[in-house]
Amino acid sequence: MLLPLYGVVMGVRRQAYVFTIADNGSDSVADLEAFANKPKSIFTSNDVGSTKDKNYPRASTSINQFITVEAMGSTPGFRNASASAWNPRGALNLLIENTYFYNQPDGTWSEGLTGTASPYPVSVQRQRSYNAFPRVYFDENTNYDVTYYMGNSIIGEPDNFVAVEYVQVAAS
Amino acid sequence: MVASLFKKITDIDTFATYPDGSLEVACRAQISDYTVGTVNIQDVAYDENSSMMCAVGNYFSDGTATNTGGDTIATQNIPLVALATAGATTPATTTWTLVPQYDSVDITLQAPQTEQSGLVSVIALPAGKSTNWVNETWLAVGHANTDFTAMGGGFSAQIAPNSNMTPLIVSIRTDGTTTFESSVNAGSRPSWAWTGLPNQVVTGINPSLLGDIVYSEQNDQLFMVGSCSADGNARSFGMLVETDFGGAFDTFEFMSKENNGVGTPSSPCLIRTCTIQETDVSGNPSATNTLCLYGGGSNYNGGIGGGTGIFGVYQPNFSLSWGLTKRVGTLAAGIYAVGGMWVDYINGVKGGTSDDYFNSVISIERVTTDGEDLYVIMGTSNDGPTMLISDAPIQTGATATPTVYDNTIATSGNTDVKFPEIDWFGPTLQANLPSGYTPDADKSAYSCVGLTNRKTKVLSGGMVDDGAIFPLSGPSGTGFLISMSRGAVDFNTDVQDNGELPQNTASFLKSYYIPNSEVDRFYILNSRINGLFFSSPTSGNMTDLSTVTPITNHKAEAYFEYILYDGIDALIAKKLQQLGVRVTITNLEWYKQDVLKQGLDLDADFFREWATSQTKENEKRERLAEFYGAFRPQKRQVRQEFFDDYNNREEILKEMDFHREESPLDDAPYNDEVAEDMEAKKLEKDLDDKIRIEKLVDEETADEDKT
Repeated sequence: MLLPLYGVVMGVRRQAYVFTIADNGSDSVADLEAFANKPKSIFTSNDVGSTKDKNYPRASTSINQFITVEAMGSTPGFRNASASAWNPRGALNLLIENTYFYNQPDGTWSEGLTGTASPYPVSVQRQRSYNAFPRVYFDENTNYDVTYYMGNSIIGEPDNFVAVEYVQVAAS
Repeated sequence: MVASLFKKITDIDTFATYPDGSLEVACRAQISDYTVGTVNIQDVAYDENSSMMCAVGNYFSDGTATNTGGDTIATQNIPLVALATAGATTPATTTWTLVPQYDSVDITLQAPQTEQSGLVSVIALPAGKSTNWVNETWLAVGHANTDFTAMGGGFSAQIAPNSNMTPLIVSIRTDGTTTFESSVNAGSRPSWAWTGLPNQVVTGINPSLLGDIVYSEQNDQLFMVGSCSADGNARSFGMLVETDFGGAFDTFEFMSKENNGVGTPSSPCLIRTCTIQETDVSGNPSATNTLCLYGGGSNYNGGIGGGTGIFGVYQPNFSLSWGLTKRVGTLAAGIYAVGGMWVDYINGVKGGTSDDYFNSVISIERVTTDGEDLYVIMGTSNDGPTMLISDAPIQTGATATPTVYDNTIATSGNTDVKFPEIDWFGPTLQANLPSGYTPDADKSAYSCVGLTNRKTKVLSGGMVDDGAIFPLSGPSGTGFLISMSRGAVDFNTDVQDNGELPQNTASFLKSYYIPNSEVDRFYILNSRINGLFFSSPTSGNMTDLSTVTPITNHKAEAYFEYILYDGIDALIAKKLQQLGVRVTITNLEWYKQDVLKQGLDLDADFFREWATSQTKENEKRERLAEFYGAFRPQKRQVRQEFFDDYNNREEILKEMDFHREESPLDDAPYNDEVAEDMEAKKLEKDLDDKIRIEKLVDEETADEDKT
């Protein structure tokens, strides 16, 4: 028998968000190309800070909310792939207000936590490089975003034909 | 850098998956003499203006058809025009208009016969450009069975291996009407009336086959290639044809070029493919600089191989007058290894052997839709499929020191043909054929298309009969489809290995890009080079045509896991953070229990903060909802019931706070202060009352005095 859960209050919720971008025919090539080489929100697929074409604002905690980040991971593969074994060279970063959580040692922007360091899905061959995820809290009334940077274009980069000039004498 | 390639096809939509596909069903419904499973498409062209697609090929008639003269047509292949008039890019549901070309064939099948009657190439004319073909949308070429002896004096029964065929040209309109030209008894404007090009002797030479056609937009004329044969003997030649339309008479003019030697060849000399460029050396459009590359195979002296491939460049008379000679430059004459480009370039520059020379040039395509402008020259060699790729356009000029390139072909002497960048891809192509697909001499790439958005190429091909364009019988085997990067650096055959392609016995594949597609959709044509029915499949989908979307199937995923603490838990979480305690569910529960044990000894600020935050949150939500044009349901008051018991506690807690802050050592409140205050107020009131009474008495007395 199903018991109604009226009045149940969920004060604490563990939630996960899985973002997928795939070249499977559902997105135009232009959209796929536009995704690469810049941090994109995993919630909206937009550029960071943009709410273009989306009828909701940037992610934020309300005044009665507090978020602790438990884990992040992405498709592994850091080095440039071959034509037959593509990988995204992807990295995740957290944007809190206008500050990225992962920065370079000199304070400049970093792509973030790579999929190689923190793979998803985790497998026997692909394990996290550390045991405890860094403490990241989103306090109440905080704008935040989770960005995914994909360094390799999902459809690849076009090459150009390069060869040598040749002149052939044609008989009349 | 990872080259842009596609590795998989998806969203495949077929025109004719036997026996239920739309084209097969339409053939059964619309063609009374149709033999089930025999429709065979050789080429397609999509017209952007009408969004219609024209497919050409043939089918096998069961011998019950009649022509317009009322004659019954013997069992044989009938050239077919198939128009996809609606939904041309959604094949499964498209509407077909089928137009068999009954009148184009002789009613009796002639012998020797090595070619099928059929249409093999079709082009879409650019909308609004042509005056000479103002009503036509497509033009198709091929050949049809004909009876030379019945055509009258001067024609003998064919013994050349071109078989008894006549060129067939069909103009096609979007309303489904067609007109044709072929040399049959009932035909109009037969090709035996074709005249020779300037200064060309064509007496005793019969045009027999057409393999390809291109349209000159600058001159509103046509250039076609094919084969012709000497009347009554086994000698045959390649054929170059151009139109001279728009004058007093609309005429076709032709010349023979190269030949199949002096022996008793078993196959004809064929020029089977051509392409066109119409720019000056600066790249500007020019009507007088039309150049056409053509290619084929000579079957020289009865043997195909070792360099029998034909390759040349042609400047039509309609573009630049030939004067007293002609403007044709031979790059490779198809006479084994006696010179020409195969020897000079493939051997001399690239180090290939005679087994690497082109036996036949099967297809020359100019690929521009992926952002590069390249000639892709595909053909056969003893070592297997081979290919040259050159930057386009090429430049030509009369051979001199130095050569002045003006994109003309010299009328006398030699012509220098400059390929701005060219490379040979024979070994590369053979090494990148699909797994298990052996690089045999009877296989070639047929088509190369550029994908506009992905900026990569599709290379497709399969079985070839060097001695025929549309053979009655041919080698068995299947087609292949290869992904090739735009610059021809990387190749991939994953799509083949996945077994997703339509395949038939003795077949080849061609690809055709569908313009204006955000996902780079293209046609795959699965064509048979012999008369096999659909009942003879080998593997894969038995379909003539399909549309597919290329993909890589690359996927990237990101995972983000978090815990959301809401309402009072959020406040506790924040408290933990302030205390320097790691915020976890366990720690939060611990702290919560700890507070509860203390009997909810919370100060008033806790609830005041909560109440204030609720008000702010609601205001914020309303502002956002208004900003985005839609009010949202008001958020339920967080845990309202939890605080119901404390709705009137704030005042009490204030008092509690007041007392809590007092020290036990402080003096107790002085109660008399209250009493004195009360007494003072009472005295004050008494005094006020007394004054008011006295005032009333005075007023009463004054009134009595008046009376």
